Amino acid sequence: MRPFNCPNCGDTVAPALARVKMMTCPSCGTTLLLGDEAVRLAGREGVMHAVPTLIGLGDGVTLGRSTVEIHGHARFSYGRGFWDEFWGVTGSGASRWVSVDEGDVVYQRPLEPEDWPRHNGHFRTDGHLIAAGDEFEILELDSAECVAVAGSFDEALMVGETYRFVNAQSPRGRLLSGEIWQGGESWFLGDWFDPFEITVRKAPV
Amino acid sequence: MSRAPELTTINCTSCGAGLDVLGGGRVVAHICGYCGAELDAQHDYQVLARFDGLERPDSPFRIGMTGTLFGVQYTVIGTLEHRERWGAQVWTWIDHQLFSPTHGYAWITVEEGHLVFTRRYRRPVWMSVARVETSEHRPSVSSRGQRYNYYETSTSEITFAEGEFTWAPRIGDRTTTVSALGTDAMLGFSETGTEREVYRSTYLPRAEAEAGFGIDTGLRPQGIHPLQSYKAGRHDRFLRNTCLALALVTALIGLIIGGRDGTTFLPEQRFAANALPQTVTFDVTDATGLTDIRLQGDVRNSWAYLTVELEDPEGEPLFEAGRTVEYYFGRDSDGNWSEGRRWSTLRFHPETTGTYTMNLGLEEQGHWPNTSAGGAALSQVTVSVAGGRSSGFWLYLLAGIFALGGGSFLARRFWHHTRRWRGSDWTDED
Repeated sequence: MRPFNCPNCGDTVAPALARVKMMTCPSCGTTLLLGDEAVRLAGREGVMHAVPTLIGLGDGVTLGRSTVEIHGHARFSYGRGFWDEFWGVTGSGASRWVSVDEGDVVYQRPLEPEDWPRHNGHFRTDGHLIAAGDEFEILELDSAECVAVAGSFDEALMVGETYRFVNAQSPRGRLLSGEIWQGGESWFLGDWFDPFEITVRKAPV
Repeated sequence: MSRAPELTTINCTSCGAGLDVLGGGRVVAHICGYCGAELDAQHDYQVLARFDGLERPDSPFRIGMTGTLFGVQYTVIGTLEHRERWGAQVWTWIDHQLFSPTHGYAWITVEEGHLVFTRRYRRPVWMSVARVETSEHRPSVSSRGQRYNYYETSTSEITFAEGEFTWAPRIGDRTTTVSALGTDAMLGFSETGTEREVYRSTYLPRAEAEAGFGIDTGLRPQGIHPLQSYKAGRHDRFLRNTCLALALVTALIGLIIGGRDGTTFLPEQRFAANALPQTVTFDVTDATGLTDIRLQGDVRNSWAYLTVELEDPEGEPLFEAGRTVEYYFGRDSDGNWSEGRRWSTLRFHPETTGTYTMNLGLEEQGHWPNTSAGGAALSQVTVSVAGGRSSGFWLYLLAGIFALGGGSFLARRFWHHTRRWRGSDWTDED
């Protein structure tokens, strides 16, 4: 996508990737939804409290044999605390998410709808889900609010929107995560990584 | 889940004491260090339980201490004391829960003066108590290229708790842990309710912990900890290989030198035993090496003591010596047997070339007639002399010393391995 002017402050905004559908204006922090023909305001970016994080915007993160460049940072609150989700692309251009939650790192790829688990919307811990040819046991069910976003994403994340999430693990240790919101859902499949085993190439300051 | 940054202190809902909130969002329980009340960190710090009259264990680490381990800054957020009993034996150790906003939770264990660093291990690997109990051979698991062999099954109880934890510990809680030891790490498998947890522990050198936390722990480690891998000296490998190579080389040189035929000074001369003593002369043409006088007798289930007197070219006595030749054979329930030998050698170093004179005699002999295999007393003696020979003895001795030197490195490694595994409760009769 070609550079455009922020509808809020007028500064020039240049998306790094053509696939970006949402980004925050680096000048005024406004969240912008990038349509095919127009850019719409989507509210504020929220407050990203400064706390030590393993990964930051612009970093290159190597997890196993895969390296992903981080373009977006979203923070989800569950009330007493929060966790971070980082969106990025691999060298081959594939979309990936890195979830960082107090030293637990999960590297995930979005599942195509045909690979999503079949469910009736009612989940319970210890329940099972079948997805992507594997069986997963549900370990965690909760809801969280997106409290802050920064950078750019290939999907629209709304600050203030609440998501239900489901985390399930297969016997082989793979993690299936689902995000369910009013009128939609997304599912992701990935693996745990030890923070001591990943390499973070920090973005130039 | 990371804790909201604005929450840094609370007042104990039981005694009102101010408590620092140091852990992250996964902290479930906060045990007041002043009144022993266990507070529900997820629900407004309501009192869950009270642990009165507990004696704080002595440890170099205190809640609130911050230090850097493996490049990551950790804060000590909790202290637990465990006790394990086995018969009359009692072991105690202290676990400190650590928290890092970027790397999550970990543990430092203080155990018999040793320090151990432990973190949760999320790879799909498991060893159950049932598997251990039904295995005929020591069970093992492999994960990320490392093999872990069963070490022990232990059941411990909590005897002290203070600070923040990611679960709600209770005094008297008992946990059974199966542990498996690898080259430099141990996996601990424990099951509580429906949850299985695997932890991976590594040895934390005291100097590293002291530098990281800026403290003097004053710890004096006792014995070898199972997690202490063998620390070879920087040059051990080179020294070991050099010693073994030198042992081989010196042994080979010894074989070559000791195996040289030399020059024949006196071809075989044969005498009847009853014709002894006899005088023979031989010319020594090479005085640089050793000279062998070889004596041989046709003993059969008999023995003979042959004497040699040698004079040098000046007619001066060089030495008087004797050698026994003996040979026995027969057959018993195990089959044919034999022992002894029909020949012997006398080795000397001639000081000069020239004609030497040897007097060969028979001093004593015996016969072992009570055998069905038959036998005969000495009837013939053969003597020959060869010179220019070398002995490999000192080289063999040197080879032995080198081999011992090289072997000592292997022995030290073996000794360390034995000490590491001494605490294992596995026996092959299990």
